[in-house]
Amino acid sequence: MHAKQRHALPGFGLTLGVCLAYLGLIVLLPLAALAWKSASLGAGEFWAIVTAPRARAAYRVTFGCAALAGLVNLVFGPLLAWVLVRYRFPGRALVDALVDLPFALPTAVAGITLTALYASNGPLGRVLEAHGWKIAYTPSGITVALVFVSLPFLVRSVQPVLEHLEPDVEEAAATLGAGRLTTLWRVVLPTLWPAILSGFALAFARALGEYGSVIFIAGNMPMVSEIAPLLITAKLDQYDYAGATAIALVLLAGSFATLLALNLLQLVTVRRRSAGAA
Amino acid sequence: MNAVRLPSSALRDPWWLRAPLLLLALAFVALFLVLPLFAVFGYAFEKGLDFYLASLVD
Repeated sequence: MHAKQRHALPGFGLTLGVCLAYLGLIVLLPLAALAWKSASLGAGEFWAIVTAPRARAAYRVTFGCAALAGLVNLVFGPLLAWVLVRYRFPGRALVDALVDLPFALPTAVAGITLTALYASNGPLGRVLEAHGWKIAYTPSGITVALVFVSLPFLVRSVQPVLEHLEPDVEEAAATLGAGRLTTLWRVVLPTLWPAILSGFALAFARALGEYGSVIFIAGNMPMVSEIAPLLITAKLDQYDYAGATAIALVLLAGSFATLLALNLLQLVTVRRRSAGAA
Repeated sequence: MNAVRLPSSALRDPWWLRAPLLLLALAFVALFLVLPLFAVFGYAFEKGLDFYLASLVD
């Protein structure tokens, strides 16, 4: 054994250094500032702000709507990816391009448009409200906006995996007598799970912090349809920087915990798959 | 051998699977993407092209 381990690729130290410096500057420094700012509050005061009834209601709305929107996209994102990759129909390229619309449209424009559509006098809102379902200015409206902005994450993370799926496995399943549904459910879907999970994680994280598209449709009623990012803005407007960072830290902790859990889940599914293949 | 590589039939979904999946996906796209897109243009030009252009110049 060598006394000093040498890497096959040269320049490891330099690239790692640049990488860490960049990461530190862009990601860790603002996070540290966040923690630093909220540390100016005492522990008691911090706890009081973070657990105030209005703040707790805002977490519920934010996490609940983000999870619900993520679940809707968990179904429709991979479905859309499947249809776009496997089926040929007129207008396919157009639909493919449309998937990026939520990224291209400024979120505030999306918010105003969705509000106009789903408001009581809007074309969709009128119909839905006749059936007793009020969308605009309720958590349902927040969920609709979040479904809109986070859809591309799921489609775009699943699509390339589907495009590069080897046909052999599906053909093998067919020769072994599996029906098409069985093949999709037991062969195709399991290979997609890691991509679906990471897409869900991205969508959920984006939905947690989403502000522009939500504030118009949410109605922003405290305790009912007020999202946590709005609470942060409200505190900033009152120059309550410490209070704003305290709420932000809770959001950050929540989204970090979610991402960690999803990554662990992804790790487990990949492990289980490779164990099963071996 | 056929010069054009046809997708093997094992990879093709049967019509009873293809039709509902396609319809469901397109309905979702229509509701969540196409409708808002048209609505944006609709509201932008609601007061006529002249008003729109005037707002751009403003």
